[in-house]
Amino acid sequence: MKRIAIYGKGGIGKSTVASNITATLSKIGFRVLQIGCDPKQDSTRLLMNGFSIPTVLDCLRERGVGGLDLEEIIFKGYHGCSCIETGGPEPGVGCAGRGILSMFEILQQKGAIRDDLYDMVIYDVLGDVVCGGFAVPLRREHSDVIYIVTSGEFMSLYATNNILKGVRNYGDAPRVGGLICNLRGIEGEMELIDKYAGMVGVPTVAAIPRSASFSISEKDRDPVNEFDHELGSIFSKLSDHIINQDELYFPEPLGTVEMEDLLGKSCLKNKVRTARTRETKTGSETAKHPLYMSKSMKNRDPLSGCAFNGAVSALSQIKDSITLCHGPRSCSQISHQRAMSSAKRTFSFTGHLLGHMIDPPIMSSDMSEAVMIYGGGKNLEKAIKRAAERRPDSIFIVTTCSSGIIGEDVTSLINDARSRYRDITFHVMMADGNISGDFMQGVIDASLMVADEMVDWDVEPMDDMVNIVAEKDIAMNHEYNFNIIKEMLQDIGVRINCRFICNTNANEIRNFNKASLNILAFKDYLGRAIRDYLAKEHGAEFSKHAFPIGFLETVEWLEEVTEHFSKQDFLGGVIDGNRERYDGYMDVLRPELEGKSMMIIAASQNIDWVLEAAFDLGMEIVKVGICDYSQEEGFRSRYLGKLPLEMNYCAKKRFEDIMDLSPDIVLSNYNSVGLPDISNYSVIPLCPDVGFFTGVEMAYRWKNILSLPKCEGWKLDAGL
Amino acid sequence: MTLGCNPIDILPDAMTGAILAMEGIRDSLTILNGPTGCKYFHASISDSQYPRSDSIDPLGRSGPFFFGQPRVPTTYLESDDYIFGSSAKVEQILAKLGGFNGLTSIVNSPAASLLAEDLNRLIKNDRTIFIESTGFSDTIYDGFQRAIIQLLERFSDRDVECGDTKSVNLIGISIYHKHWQGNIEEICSLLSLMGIRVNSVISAGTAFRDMVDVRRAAANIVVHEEYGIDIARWLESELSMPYINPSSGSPLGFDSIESFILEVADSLGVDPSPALESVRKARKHCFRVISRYNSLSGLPKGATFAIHAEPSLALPLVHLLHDYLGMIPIRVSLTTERDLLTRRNLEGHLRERGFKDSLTALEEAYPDVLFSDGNTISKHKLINPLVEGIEVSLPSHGFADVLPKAILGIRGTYILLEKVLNGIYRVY
Repeated sequence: MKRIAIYGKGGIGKSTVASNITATLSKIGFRVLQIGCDPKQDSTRLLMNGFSIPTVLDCLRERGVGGLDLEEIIFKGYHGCSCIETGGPEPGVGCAGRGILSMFEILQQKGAIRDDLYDMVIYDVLGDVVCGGFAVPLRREHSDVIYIVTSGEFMSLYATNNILKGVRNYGDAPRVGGLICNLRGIEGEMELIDKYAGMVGVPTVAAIPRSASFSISEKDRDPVNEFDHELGSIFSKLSDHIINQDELYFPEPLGTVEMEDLLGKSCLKNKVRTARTRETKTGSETAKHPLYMSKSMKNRDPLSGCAFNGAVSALSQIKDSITLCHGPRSCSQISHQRAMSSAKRTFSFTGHLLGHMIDPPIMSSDMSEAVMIYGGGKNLEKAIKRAAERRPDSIFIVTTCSSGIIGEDVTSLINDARSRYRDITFHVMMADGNISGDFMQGVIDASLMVADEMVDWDVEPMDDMVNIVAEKDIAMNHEYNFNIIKEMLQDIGVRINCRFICNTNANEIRNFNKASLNILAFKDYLGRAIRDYLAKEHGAEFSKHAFPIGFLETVEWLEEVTEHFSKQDFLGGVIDGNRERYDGYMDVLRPELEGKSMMIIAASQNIDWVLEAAFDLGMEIVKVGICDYSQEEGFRSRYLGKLPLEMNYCAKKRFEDIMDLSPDIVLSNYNSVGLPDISNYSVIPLCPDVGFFTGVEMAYRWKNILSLPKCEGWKLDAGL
Repeated sequence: MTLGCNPIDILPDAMTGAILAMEGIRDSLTILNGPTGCKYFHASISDSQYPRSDSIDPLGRSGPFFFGQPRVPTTYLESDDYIFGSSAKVEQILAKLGGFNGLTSIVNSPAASLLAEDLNRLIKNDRTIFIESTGFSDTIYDGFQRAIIQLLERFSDRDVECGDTKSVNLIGISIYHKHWQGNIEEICSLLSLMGIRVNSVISAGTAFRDMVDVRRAAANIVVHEEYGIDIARWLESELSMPYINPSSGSPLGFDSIESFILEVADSLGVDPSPALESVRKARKHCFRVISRYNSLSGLPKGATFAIHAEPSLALPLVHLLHDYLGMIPIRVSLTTERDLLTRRNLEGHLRERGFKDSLTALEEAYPDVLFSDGNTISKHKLINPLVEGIEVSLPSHGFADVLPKAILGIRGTYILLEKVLNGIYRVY
C-alpha cells in the first residue's frame, strides 16, 4: 500500500487532481481510498457522482468513537474506489485542524487503513500548512510521499514554499514526490515553476493545462478520463508515475529574500510586515488589566499554575453562585482537588471544617473531542442550563486553554443565556487556562472582574465596618486567622462587612462599599495588586498594615485601625493585657533559649515576627538566607542592620553554611532530609498565624526541639 | 452551605488515567507536555502513591521542568508555545533527562494535543513513547487503558514464549487504587497458594522490562474490570493471551475471594484447595469477632450502607455488606456508566434481593456507613456528621498510612470489617 498526501493552496485544484488520479487508478483495478481533509467536505464529490457523503466528524459528534462504524464513513464510488470525508466545523468556530487529527485517530483505532484493503491511499489536504492539525498527513506514520499542486501564481508558489517548510519539520528523510503543475495559462508560468522547482530541489512531475473539460467534468459529475482523451492521458501518466516513483526529495524551501528575488518584491513586503507584527504580540497583552500583574507575569518567569485555576479558586468562594469551567473535565477536577486538599489539610491540622471548600460550587462544560472540533457553544448551553436549575445568584464562566486555543468567543455564546435566565447574573472570565497568566494572575483578574461587575459602588459606607481583602484560602490557618482578626476587631467595636473574595456570598460582595476601611490579609504581590486596583479605580481606602504577625506588628495595626475609627479609648486595655502575657511567656522561655544560635533559610519575605521573638529572647541570628521563589517580593525588616543577610540564597549552600556556622537551630519553610545532624531543624510557616503571640508560639516549639536529639532515628534510614 | 459541585464534573479524567498509567511503571518518568497547572496535582498524586525518592525538598528541585516536585516534569507551556509549538521545550527537557535509562513517556495535556505536533520526530531512543492525545473529558479508565495499550503495542515483545503455564499477569491495577501495593500482595498470596506465579502487574510497580515481557504469562487476570478489560481484550486479540474477568469483581470479601479463587483455578487447571483453606480460616476468625459484637448490639445487621465506587469494587462490597453482614444498601452509585460484566452482575444481584432502586446517585442519602473516596466522604459528613466514611478509593482524606494496608484479599476484608464494626454509631 502506498499512501500519498496531496497539498497545495486553497482553490488550486487539489481535489480535482486527487479525484482524477483516484479515478484513473480505480478504473485499471487499483483499490484506492481517497480521504478528503477539508472542512468543505467536497473532495470526493466527483467520485461519488456529485453526491456529498456523511463526514467522519459529523458521525463522531453524533455518536462518539464507540458508536461509530466504518460503514457509516467509508463509501464506494467511481469504479469501486473508497471515499472518506473528514468534515469539520463551520467557518469561524471550533478547530478544523484538531478535526483532522481526530479523524486519523479514529481511522487508526478502527483499523480502517490496512494493506489488505487498499493499494493506494490519497489524502487531499486543505490549502497551506496552517497549523499542526493540517500537517498531520505529513507525518511518516500517515503518508509515504507528498505531492504539491501549484500554479505559477505568486500565492500558490508562496503556499508551496510554506508546505515544503512544513515537510522539513517532519523529519530528515526525503518525502516529497514533486510538484504537480495545475496551470492557469499565465505567461511564462511553466518556466517560473521549473525555476522554483530547481531552486528548492524538487521536480515537477506533471503539467496539467488549463481546460474547459474540468468545468464539464464538475457539471456532469464525471472524471475527465471519461471524455477528454488528452487530459485522461496526462492523468494516466501521472498516476503511473506516482505508482512507480521510488526516488523522493528533501526540499530546500526558499527564504524570504530568495522568494522576493524569484517572485518580485512589492507583493511580498506587506506579507512579511504583517507576520512580524503578529509575532511580537505576547500573552500578557491579552490580560484585561495589564497594570495589575502577578509576580511571574511581571518578571516573565515560568508560569506557576494557570489563571483558569486561580480564577476558579477565587470565584468559587462566592458560595451562592456557580463557577462553570468551560473546558475538559481535567480542569474542573484539578480545581476541585486544589480546594479540597486545602480543606482536608485544614481539617486534619486545625479541626476547621470548611464546607465551602469541601463542596465548592464548581461545574464543568465537559468539553469533549467533538467540542474541540466544532466549538463548545452547545455544550456550554447545556452546562448553563444545569447550573441555572440550581438557582444561583450568579454564574461565572471561566475559560480553559483548550477553549482559548480553539478561539471561542464565550461572551457572544452566552448572550442567549443572559436573556433566558434574567434573574441570574452572568460573568465571563476569559482566563483561557494559562494563556492569560499564572494562578495568581487568575486570582487577580477574577478579583478585579468581581470588583467591576458585582460591587455596587454607590452603596453608602456605614459606621465601624471593615472589609478583609486577599485572604489565602490555600493556607490552612486562613479561617483561624480570620477569627483572630475578627475577635480583635470586636474588642475595639469594629465589625467585618465582607471577605473579598473568601467564604462569602454575592450580597456581601455587592455591599462591599458599606465598609469605610479595607484590610489586606497579606501585603504580597497579590494583595498589593488587588489593593492598588480597588484604591485607584474605585477609591477604596486601605489600612497601611496587613494582618499583623507578632507582637509589634499587632500593636501598630491596632493603633492604625483604632485611629481610623476614632476608637483609641479601646487601645490601652487591649495592648496592656497582651503585653503582660507576652512578657510572661518570654520570661519562661528566656532561660532555655538565651544565647542559642539560629540560622534562617526562607522564601518568606517578612520574618520579623521570628526575629522579634528571637531577639527578645536574646538568641543569636547567625545567618538569614532569603530564597526568591515565593509570591512575595522585596525582603523587608526592621532589623536589617542586625542581620547577617544573604539574598537570592540557593539551596546548594545550605550544607556548607550549616557546617561552618553550627547553629543550634535551623529554620526554613520546608524541612529537608540529608542536612548535617549538628543542628536542630524546624519550620517557618509560609502563612503564619496572626496576632500578638505568633513568635511566642514558635519559640515554645524551639525550646522543645532543643531538648531533643539533633537527628531523629528515622532520618538515619534514608539510604535503606 | 454552598451550592456544591456536580459529582461527575470532579471525577479525574483521561489525562489523569494516562499519566498515572505511565507513572505506575517502576523505572519510568512521565513528562507532561502541558502547562504547570496540569502538573502539580498529578506530580503530587504520583509521589504520594508511589514515592521513589527520599526527599521532597522543593528547594532541591526548584525551577523549570520539575517546579519543586520529584515527579512528572513539565514543559510548562505558555501562550507563545500554543502558537509556535512545544517542540523546543520538549527537546530541552529530553536533553536534560538524557541520562535517564528507564521508560520516558511524553504525555500531551488536552491543550497540547490541540497543537497536533508530531513529537515522535524528537525521540532519539527506543525507550521513549509519545502519547499524543489522552482524550477530552473521557474517563480515567479510558485514559489509563489507552495509554497502556499504546505502550504494549509499541514495546511488547511478541516473540517471547510463555515460559510457565501457571503464571499470570494482573491487569487493571493503577497506582491510583487505594493501597495498591497491599492489594497486589494479597492477590499474589492467594495465587501463590495455588502455585501460580505473577509475571507482571499492569501497570503498578512493575519494571518496564516485565511490561515488555507480558507474553511470558499464560493468562491475564482482570483485577479491576474498568481499568483492565480493554487491555485484556487487546492482549487476547493481538498476543493471543486468554484472560479471566472474575464474575464477582475484585477479590474483596470472602464470597468474592472464593469465587475469584475458583474461577482462576478452573481456568489454569490448578488445585484451589490451599487458597480456599486460607479463606476458611479467615472466615472462622471473623466469625468469632462478629458473633461477640452481634450478641450485644444485633449489629451490623440492619445497619445501612451506601457505596460510591467503581463496579469492580461495588459488586464485592455489596456481597460483603449485604450477604455476609446483613446490612441494607440504600445507595449504590457507580463512577462509570460503561456496560461491564461487574455492573450487570451488580444490577442483577441488587434486583434479586429487592434493592434495585438503590442503584442510583448518592444525593440525599443518610447511610450509617459510606464506602467511597475521601472527597465524597468529606462532602457527606457536612450533611451527615455521624456517617462512618470508609475510603476504598482515591482521593484520600490525607490519612498518613504507616501500617501496610489493603482493600482486596483477606487482609483487605479484615480491615473493612474492622472499620464497619467499629464505625457504626447509631444505637438500634
